[in-house]
Amino acid sequence: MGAFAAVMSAGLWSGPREVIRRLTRSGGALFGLAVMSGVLAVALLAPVLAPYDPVRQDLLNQNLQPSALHWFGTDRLGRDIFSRVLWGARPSLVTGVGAVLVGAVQGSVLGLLAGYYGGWVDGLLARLVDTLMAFPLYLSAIFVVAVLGPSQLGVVLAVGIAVTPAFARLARGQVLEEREKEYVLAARAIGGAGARVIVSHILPNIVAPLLVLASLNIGDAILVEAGLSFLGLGPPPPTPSWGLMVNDGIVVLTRAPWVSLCPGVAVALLVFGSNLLGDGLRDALDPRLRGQG
Amino acid sequence: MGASLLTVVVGATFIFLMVHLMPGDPVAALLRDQFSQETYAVVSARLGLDQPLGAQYLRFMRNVATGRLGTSFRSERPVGQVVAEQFPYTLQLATAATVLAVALGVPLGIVAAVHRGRPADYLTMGGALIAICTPSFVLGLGLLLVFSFQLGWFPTIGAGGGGPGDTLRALTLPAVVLGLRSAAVLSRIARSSLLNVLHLDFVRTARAKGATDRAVLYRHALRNAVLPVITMLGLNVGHLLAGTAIVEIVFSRPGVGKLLVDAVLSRDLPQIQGTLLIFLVIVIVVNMLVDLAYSAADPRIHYA
Amino acid sequence: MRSGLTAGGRKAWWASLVVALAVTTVSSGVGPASPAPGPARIVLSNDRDISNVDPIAISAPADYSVAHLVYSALVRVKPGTSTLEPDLAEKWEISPDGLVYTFHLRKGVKWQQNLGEVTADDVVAHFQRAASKESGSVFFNDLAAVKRIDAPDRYTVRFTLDRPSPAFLTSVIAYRPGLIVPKKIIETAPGSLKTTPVGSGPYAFSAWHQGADVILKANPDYYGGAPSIGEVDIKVVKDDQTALLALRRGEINGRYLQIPEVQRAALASPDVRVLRAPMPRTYYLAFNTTRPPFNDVRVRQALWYGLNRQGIVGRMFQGFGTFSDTMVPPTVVGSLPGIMYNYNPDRAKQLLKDAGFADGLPGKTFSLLAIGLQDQTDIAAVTQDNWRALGVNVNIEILDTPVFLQRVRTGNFDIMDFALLRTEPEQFLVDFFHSKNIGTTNFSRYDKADGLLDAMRFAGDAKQRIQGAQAVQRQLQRDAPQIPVLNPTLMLAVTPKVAGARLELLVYNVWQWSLPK
Repeated sequence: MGAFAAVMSAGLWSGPREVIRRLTRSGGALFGLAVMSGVLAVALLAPVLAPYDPVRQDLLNQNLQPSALHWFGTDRLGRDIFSRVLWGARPSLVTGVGAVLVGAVQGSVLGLLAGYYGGWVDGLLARLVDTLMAFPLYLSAIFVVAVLGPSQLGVVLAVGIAVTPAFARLARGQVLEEREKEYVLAARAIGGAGARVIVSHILPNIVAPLLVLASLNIGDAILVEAGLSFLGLGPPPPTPSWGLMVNDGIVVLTRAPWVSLCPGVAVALLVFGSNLLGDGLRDALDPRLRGQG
Repeated sequence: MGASLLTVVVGATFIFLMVHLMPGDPVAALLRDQFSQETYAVVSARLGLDQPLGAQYLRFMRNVATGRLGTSFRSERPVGQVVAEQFPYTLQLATAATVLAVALGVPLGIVAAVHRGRPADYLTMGGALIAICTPSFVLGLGLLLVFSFQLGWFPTIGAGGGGPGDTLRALTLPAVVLGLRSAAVLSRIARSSLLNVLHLDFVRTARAKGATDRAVLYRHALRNAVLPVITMLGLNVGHLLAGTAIVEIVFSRPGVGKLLVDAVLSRDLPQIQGTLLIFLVIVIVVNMLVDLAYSAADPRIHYA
Repeated sequence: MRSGLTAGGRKAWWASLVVALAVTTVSSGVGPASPAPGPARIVLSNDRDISNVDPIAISAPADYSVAHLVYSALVRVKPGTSTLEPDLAEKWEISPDGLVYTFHLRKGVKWQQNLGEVTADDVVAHFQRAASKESGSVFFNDLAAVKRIDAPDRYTVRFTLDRPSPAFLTSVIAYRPGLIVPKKIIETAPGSLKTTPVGSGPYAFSAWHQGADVILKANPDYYGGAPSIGEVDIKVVKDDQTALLALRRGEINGRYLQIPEVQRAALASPDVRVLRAPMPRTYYLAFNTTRPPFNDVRVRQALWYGLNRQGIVGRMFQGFGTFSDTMVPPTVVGSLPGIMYNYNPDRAKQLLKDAGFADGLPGKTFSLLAIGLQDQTDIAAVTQDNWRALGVNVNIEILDTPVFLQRVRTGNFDIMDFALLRTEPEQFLVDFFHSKNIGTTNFSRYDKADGLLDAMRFAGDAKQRIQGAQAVQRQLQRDAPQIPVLNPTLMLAVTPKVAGARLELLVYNVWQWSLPK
């Protein structure tokens, strides 16, 4: 559910063809779409595309400069960085999208319920979210990783839980705004059931800010993974995860900057793409922006 | 007020459970080099870890009710005192970063929204994206290398201490690293919420009635776009407290973020519990303020 | 009309910037006040903050580096060497049977804070406290061999032991628990020693800003004469890389660097001077010898032959280290020389075949636990790669220290990747391979050397002790419950103008330093 469900319902509401038409008219969105599809394709085709085994070490060829043989050079263990970056698309994509899905679903549901019903529901959920928010991102992440052990699932859940309050509060704030509007008041007046009013009227209208947040958080998840590696709690070797690779190269940053830089650019590209796509989606989905593109 | 108290009780219980169910061996971590068969049992008993969980919980809650947070396993100093000592450093950093974020982020977001689809928009949002997608430890080390090491403008380590000038110099780079990210996030939020509002009926009406663009922007649009920005700022509080950990480590500053991460990594249970409880109270208070700001910014919303 | 808006935006931006500056300036009043840097001030740096500097509870090098400057011991290791020299005791005797140690105290040594003269009563009270379980001591077991401590006169202290203990001077008297605390404080406020130490050493404790630094001031009454450096500021800098930048900028004057890549950079930096020597630290892999197939000595030996330690030392550690076949580093007394397990994948495969695993162990994955520090994860990564070539697959689990210790203590692992810093052969061998320590520090759960270990720790003299230690090491080499991977390099980096610095085990002999013009 969450952001994707919102996209779906919003799409149905204004017609999927219309959304696609608007999406393809925006250059940024197209670029974002291209980048995301590219990353997805690389993730799927890594075994075919990668020239080397991403985990094969060669201690005699450490920190080699980028060359025809090794396009992005080699890392501190003599592994081919290009192959590792290609393979790294998989864990990075799973971490980013997975974490945002977890957070968006939980957060949107909590926020929608709290904002729409108000009263004690709001009070209770607000307390829950407040408590969650007192545990900052890295702390939740450290805790979840400590409980689940160092794994990708740990990072996904940790970041997912950690970004939940953001979605919840944003959704609540937007609902508070929307529920006072005429169309919602009208829907309620004619006896619309709570769930139906939320799904068919409120959700599509608050999807834009939620999408913006989701698009930002895809990158956040990968960055938290990098931060966890910095604190010594990242995914274990030999996983070619981009966040881990960035941290791994920090110690040779002045001597062999490509070791950190290449996976770093990959992270940047993924974040960039997801953000542009998010922006484009927002513009395409928001009926109020129709014709203004 | 009652609800807030309830949050503290629920939160304290949650914190206690979380901390005590966390795997890891506090005694072994504490003993480090002197870890042996004989010392293990003695220290375990001295820390009260050999007692049943229920008894430990009751003791913790009784302490909380009387405002005591226990003593740290490691330094055996009062937890509250330790946090109070570290707090000013984090407050400095968080304040500077927030000010920087708002000062940079909101105006840039406005510029981008107004120039939507033009070079200024792409430039601003591109810059924001670069700030967003760089891990803070990479950005921190990069800035250290250039501005502290090569140019010598700022100290490489520490939080200053020789006077206000020193402190300010030591604060600059960490605040930039912490604030740049929030600025980027804020600019995007500000841009998108402003874009939303710019097309609403009342803005169109105002324009149709002949109001100039600037007047429309300030009087109507900006005020309505401010809600999501306030939301973001409220959200940032939790992150600014312990989210400072990595920045504090990179720039060798004291602070609650680093304190908490160190406490977790050494399983200093009383220190973790006490620090988190203090965070919880701060977050609750700040969020009450955010809700008040909501009502002030938008009279249609009444916070119960 | 849009340009008008931009101008408005710009104005708002500048206004906000002014606010930002105002706020940060106002909030900048907090922070520890320290005096203006003078010529006789030195800044040192440790990678961790102190946590408890009471000598009887010191468990980390950072704590010892501070306590070592504030307190004196009866005897101490002469800076830059491994020999002992007089400290509070001018001279000392050991009875021929090795059971009675008599120390003759220097006269007229003063406690800091006007607590009077250091006398035999202080020494007796201190060691009684260190030997007691109730005092919070973590060294009571090290003093278990001491039957009686008494003071025949004001300046003489006598230790009577149950049994000979060749390591008594180096592992107790000249080590962490040997730093003497005043009797007056033991009687009045022993709790205060955790964070405000008072001793008779070259420096007096001045302030601790938790998370930031410790300030020490020269002790004008020090028996060896007031130190040339008037103030020592020991700052916490977690990361070696940042510390090197600060060293090169002159923001700190001395720091022990431990990350090989940073050691290499320090060596190449013209603006720092480095002192280096082999370090008594052993990186090693240990097997859980109760779990198949690691209960088979041939499998353990095979994996030892199959580990490219030359590659790890030469490549991962940039040549900053050496390797040997024993847990006891070559610089520690009694270390067994010689290398049997040179990298030999063919031999490894043969041994696996002998054990019934001709094709390795396909389809199985074993856990290899490591703490998330780069040096240790590097070793894990190379190990994984080397052993995969033998058909042995390991799954690396990166854990934080408390979870790691919990897992290895309770035997919930197949292979572990760890490092030890110790100074005595007993500390490397008895703690980690005697069956009495299964459940705490005997992680590999190896129980076949108890007799040899007991013979070694109850040895009558130094010669027997060395022979005993080598017998243990030979058996551990043969039985392979562990694979010693390497011994790293100890490196002290100082700014060029510092004179008198000696390389010690993560402590600083600052009282002998000076800053010549």
